[in-house]
Amino acid sequence: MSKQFQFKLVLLGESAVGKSSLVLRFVKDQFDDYRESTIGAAFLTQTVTLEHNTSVKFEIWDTAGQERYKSLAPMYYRNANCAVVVYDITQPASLEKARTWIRELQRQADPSIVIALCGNKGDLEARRQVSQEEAKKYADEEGLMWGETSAKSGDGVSDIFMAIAKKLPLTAPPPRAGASRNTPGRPAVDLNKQAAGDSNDPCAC
Amino acid sequence: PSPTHRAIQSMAVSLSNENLPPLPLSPTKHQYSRSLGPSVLEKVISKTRPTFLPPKPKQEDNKHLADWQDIMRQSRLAADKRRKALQDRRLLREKKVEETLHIWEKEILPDWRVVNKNSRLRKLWWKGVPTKLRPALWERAVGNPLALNKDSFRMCLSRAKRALASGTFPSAAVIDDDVATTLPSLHLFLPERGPMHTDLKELLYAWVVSRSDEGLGYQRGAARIAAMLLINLPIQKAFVVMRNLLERHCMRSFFGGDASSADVDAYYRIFDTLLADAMPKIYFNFKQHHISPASYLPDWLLPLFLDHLPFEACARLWDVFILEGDSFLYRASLAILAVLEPRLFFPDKQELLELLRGENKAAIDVAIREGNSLDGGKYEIYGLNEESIWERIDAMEDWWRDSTWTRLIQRELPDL
Repeated sequence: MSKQFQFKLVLLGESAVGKSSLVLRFVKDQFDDYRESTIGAAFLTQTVTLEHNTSVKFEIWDTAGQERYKSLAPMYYRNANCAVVVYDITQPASLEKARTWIRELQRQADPSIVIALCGNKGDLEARRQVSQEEAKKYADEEGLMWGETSAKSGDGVSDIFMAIAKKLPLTAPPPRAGASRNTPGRPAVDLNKQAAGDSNDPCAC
Repeated sequence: PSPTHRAIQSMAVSLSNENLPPLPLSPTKHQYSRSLGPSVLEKVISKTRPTFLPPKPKQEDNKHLADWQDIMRQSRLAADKRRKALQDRRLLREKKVEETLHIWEKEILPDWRVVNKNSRLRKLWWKGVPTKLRPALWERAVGNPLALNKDSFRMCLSRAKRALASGTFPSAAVIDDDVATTLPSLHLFLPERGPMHTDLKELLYAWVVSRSDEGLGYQRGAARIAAMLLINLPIQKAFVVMRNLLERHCMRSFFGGDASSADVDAYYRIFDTLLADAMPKIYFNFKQHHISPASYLPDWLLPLFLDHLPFEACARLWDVFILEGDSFLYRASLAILAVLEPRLFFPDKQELLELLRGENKAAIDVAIREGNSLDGGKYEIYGLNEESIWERIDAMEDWWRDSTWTRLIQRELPDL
């Protein structure tokens, strides 16, 4: 029998580290060289399939990196099961910012949240300023998952989401129906999940 | 130069003038009654070269254009600097609030009512509730005087869905309309792509159903309130808080339609009395041009300031409104007028109303020139932000008396 789990994932990190590009690569396998900055939040979904007929559907909340909207924090963190905190390997300051986000997550979010630290722009190896060792060491100290990606080439992108899917406690009850009733955003992300979603709906009216 | 040459040159001058934004020297247009001709200021600065003067030589024209561009560049730089400094001060304020989190968790969270006895903690609340605790504290401080149970949202929503399916739901189109214009700068509630669009609509459907027993329908502005609550609370709780919050007397009156219009009039009289006390000149000017609080107060109160003030400023106003009740709505509203005060002396009704609607053309031009966004609170173009409004609210400490408020309420709403 196939099982489907649904999780809320938030993407955090400084402006222009490539959060939206990362999601675009993961969800649509596309890349834009010139993306406009995200405002407020964007929302997408993507499903990954694990072994034993298990699939994990991510509700991805891609947040704006600008710190304009502190008061949106409760919405980002409410029922978030996992967070991907992104930095840019060519910008040491973005790792600093990532640490701030991680502290914030540890303070504000549910303690069981799975956090992954993600060094993006791996294609810019020549301009690297943040070593793998440094980031890895920090991630180990804080008990975070860690990986490097390139949204541009696609390297490592599905790996990091796959690793998160595997790490999420699949025995735990999926998030409340209220948090996941609606899946707006880009249509046709995964058509065959539509039916499964409906049967989960507790509201039979 | 030949006449044709001259004509072409003067055309070029007038064209280039049309393309230029207004001079930085006059950020606000001085429009004292048009019949008196140009103001003193306008006589001194020349915006366009008068047609009766010969056109400038090309060289001079170029120099002036270069000077102009330089002035504009510096003006933009200065604006950037101001924005940056404002942002830095805001981050610092937010950081300070977050640093008090442990005090909140230890002293306020167990029983928030402690702030009514402890002035130090009450002051802390006035600085803004830490975002992490907002959901819990808003829910508790609003309370549940209506004694709604956890399932009430679900029940109302399923009634609404049945009505929608049978085409008997009364205000679906108005709701759609109101939702589409709710906090557009956040992109959260936009139709199609907004992640919380459906939640917002469902909360409003349920709210309409829950009020229908009292014979009340949808009221514009409710979408803003629902949106702010959804950002902070899961939908079922947002519903309970919304119902109870809008049951507070002032909000209830403004949301009550025709049935409560007498109460709303009383609230207008109360506002006028306070305005006359606090800002007599504004009061007098409004009076002369027959501008009553009805022209602006409902626009502010129905969406609880979310249409006019920046989102972050609203969150903190909500913190204090939820704690202090209706009187704070009035303090905040007076503070808005205090920030706008220098702009409110127009002797022209249309001009004043336009300004109060947030549509003053001069201010919009300046905002565009300085690269400020126009999709946030409508009054951001007038420099209204968390800082400026709280300056005014704090300054009111000197003369604001809760006893005055109570007395006015007793006078105007004796049945309360």
